[in-house]
Amino acid sequence: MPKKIELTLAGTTASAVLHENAAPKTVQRLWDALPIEETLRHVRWSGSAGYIMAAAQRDPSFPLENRVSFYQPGAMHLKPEHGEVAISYGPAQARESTGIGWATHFATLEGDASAFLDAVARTQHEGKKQLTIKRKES
Amino acid sequence: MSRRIEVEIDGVRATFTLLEEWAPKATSIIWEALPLENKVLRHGKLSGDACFLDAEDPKFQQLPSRNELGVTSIYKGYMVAHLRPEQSSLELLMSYGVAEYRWPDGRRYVTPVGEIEGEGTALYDALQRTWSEGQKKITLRRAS
Repeated sequence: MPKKIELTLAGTTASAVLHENAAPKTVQRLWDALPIEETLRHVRWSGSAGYIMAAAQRDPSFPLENRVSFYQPGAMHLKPEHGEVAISYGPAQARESTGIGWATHFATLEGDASAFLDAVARTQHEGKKQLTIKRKES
Repeated sequence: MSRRIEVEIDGVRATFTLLEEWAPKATSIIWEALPLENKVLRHGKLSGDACFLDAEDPKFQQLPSRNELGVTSIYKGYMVAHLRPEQSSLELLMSYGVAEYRWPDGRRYVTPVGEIEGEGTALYDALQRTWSEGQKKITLRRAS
């Protein structure tokens, strides 16, 4: 049974499957840090995504796993050098002011997550929102 | 005497000098289209520390089809324009930090049209707040 997490944002909830096989170290580190409550903001360089800065996930020496540059909608990514956890709702990419970067794709939303992703998208027009991530008990 | 425009966001006002030597046609047409009142100012999602507004006006059909001075960087305190004469519109962007005009498929060129007068801290703060607080209203008018 795969590990899952539950995300809550602005009255909406979504569930995501953690990719334990593709990103085992990242998934374990995140799992051990749950629950997480942080401010979600819209990205400024990467496109259609929101992000939190999770201090417990910040480790510049932590390896990338399941490495990607482009984010698919509904995917969750970690940039360990910043502790940045991003949730994409449309086309997005691991970008910074200096150019294109990489991230670990560690989870993917499951089911109909459209209301949750709409809430992520609205952070561009409405501003920051509070995000909670916790273990989803099966 | 250079033409100057006043920008107002959230009760904060700042004055920009139009860069007429760099972009004579674009700045002239923007001047003729003023005031641009109660437009929606949003934070960008690809270009870094920058906010943008879209404006439409029949006069914008006369904008140059190419940048008079093409740049990709949006330096702090500058206003740049993405010209869309075929749509009778333009996009204006202002930076409060490190910014570069980018689309999903990479960098794009824009025309610098204005430079802030003075130190601009209050305006930079208002621009930055759109990131945390969401979109705001912006007015651009001719400065007296």
